[in-house]
Amino acid sequence: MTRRLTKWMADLSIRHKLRLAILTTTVFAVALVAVATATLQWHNARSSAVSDLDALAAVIAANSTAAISFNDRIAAQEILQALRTRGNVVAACLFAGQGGNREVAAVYQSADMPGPECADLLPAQSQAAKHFILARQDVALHGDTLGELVIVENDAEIWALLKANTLALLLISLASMLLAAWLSGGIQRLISRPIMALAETADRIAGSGDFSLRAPRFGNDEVGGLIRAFNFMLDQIEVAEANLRDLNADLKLQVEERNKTNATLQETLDQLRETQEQLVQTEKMASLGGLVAGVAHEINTPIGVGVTAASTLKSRSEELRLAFEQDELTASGLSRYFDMVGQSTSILLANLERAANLVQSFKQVAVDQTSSEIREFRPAEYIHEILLSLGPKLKKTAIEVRLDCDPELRIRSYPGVLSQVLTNLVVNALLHAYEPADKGTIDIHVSRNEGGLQLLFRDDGKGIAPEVLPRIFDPFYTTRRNAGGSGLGLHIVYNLVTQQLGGRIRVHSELGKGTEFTIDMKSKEANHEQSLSRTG
Amino acid sequence: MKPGVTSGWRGRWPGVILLLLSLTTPSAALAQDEVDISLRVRAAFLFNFARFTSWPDAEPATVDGRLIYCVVGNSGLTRALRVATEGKQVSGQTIEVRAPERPTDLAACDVVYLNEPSDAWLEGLRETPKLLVGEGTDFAREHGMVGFFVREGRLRFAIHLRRVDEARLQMSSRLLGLATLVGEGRSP
Repeated sequence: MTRRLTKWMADLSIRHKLRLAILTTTVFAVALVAVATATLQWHNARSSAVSDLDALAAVIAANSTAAISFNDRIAAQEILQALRTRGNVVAACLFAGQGGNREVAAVYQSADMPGPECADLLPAQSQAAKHFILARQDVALHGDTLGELVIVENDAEIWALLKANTLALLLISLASMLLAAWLSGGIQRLISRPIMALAETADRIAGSGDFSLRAPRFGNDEVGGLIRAFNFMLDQIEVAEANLRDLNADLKLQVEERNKTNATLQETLDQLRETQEQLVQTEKMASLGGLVAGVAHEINTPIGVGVTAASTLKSRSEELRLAFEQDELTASGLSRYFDMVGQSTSILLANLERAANLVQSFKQVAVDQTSSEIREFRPAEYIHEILLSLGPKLKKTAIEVRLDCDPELRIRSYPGVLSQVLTNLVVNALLHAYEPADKGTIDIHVSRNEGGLQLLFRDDGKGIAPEVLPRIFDPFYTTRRNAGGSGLGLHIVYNLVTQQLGGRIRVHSELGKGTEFTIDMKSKEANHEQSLSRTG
Repeated sequence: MKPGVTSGWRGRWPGVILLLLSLTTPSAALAQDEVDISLRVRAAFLFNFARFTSWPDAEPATVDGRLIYCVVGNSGLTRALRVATEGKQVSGQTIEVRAPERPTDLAACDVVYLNEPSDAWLEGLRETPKLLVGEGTDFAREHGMVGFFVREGRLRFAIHLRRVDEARLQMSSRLLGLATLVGEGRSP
């Protein structure tokens, strides 16, 4: 309960707080004064009534000396009757005698107010007049105590006075509080106005973000100091803001410039990429062109030879025919003709076969350009099949091919391409690394690589001479042209590995020791990007 | 010894007198029975007169520190007065009660009571600072200053004020208030 009250009071506007403070103080002060005054008045009224009565009793007692001395009851009575004029006197008793021998000499009793009996008041410690004002006075003459006078007065007058006074006090208090309430309204403004102006300014600044606003000053007190500090703070904020804006503008400019530069760079990059692509294309075209030229050149030879052989055949056949028609055909002439036919057709066949092989190889290279199938497969399994298909070729030799690959290994790539690569490598090895009757071992070792596979193709053949090594991947480069080498095998392998498989191929070889090809290939993502594989 | 039961004040002045007299010493209590009530009252009054009267300073009576009562012609009163004033003082003066035989013996008296207003006695008392008390309002009117009389069963007294003044005596207004004033008023 008190907590809610405290909270409510804490949330009051400053205006109301101040008013409340002033009012509370005033009310308490006025109440305190009123209560204190009323109490004092009561005491004073009572004591002055008592002393009044005492004085009266003294006078009456002095006047009663003779009456008491002479036991003049009537006179004594008359004296007491004078008290009739004093409205609040309830009773008065004149006692004659001293100490324990006192006797009632005269009695006055108010007609309309009840009071104690004189007989009850006789003892000195009588409590009969407890709720009255009592005055006891000895009747003495020249130092001799003749008797005692007791006057009993009620305090009605005191109460009446007090009531009147209290009422007046209450009215004054009320008037004071009303005045305070009215004044407090004005006075509190001295404090609340500057504070509220400050609060309002702060609100406006917070709302609008306009730091040029300032709080109005109202005087040089603590609040004035606060307002001054606030305004000073705002000055600083304004300056800081301006600085910030400038910096911001600068930054924006910088960013713009950077962006421009970036854009330019991006453009350049794009251009470079384009150029690169073009270059690759061009290179491809060039290589293709080279390839075509190479093939054309290559094919030209066997075809030329074939043409020569064919024309020889034709001319000799015509000679024979002529001889036949002139009946100059001889047995030796015919026999020579058959020999020539046999030779020529052999040459023709061989060269045509050669040309056909060349075309086949070229077709292989061309086929590279078409997209093959990409899927996830187990190299172990696949390579095994490749080797099986190569079986017939291998059977003619004494070469053993060993495969070392984790059967669970998987890769997502072009299996057809891999097949081609391996086939070419094997063929190449069979052709170049070994003599026809040589014994040897080819090791294929597949292991997991970061993001893909590493394939090691190792033979223990002749090895490659250091001056030949850099050129082995060049198209139409072969050291065994007469043995049927097209010079395209490793070139195709290179192209396939770098372009299709998106990997790389390295070769290490030592004469007499053997050759090792290292192929690194990456697993293709679901949406593989051709452009990446090209640059890779 | 307490003098009997005293109930409320109802004009039973004998009881009151007894009360007053009980203020005296115990030996006086024995004497009470022998003295006539009226004498006792008169004695009491005489005693009280002195208390409300003041004598001029130069008076030998004042000087020698004694207040002397002289009762003439009433031995009973003399006795009663002696009883009433025994051990008492008036304004620091001790009290003496005498019963002079001859008028010349009145010289030292302060208060003189004449049972009978005879010229012989009155002669030397005129305009002397002595309080002259007698019987009857006539006494007060013609001879003395104070005269006892009884009205409605109560002892009262009359005072001739001018004579009091002429004797250079001063009487308290309280006493005068109780008295019946006779004669002309105060001399201007």
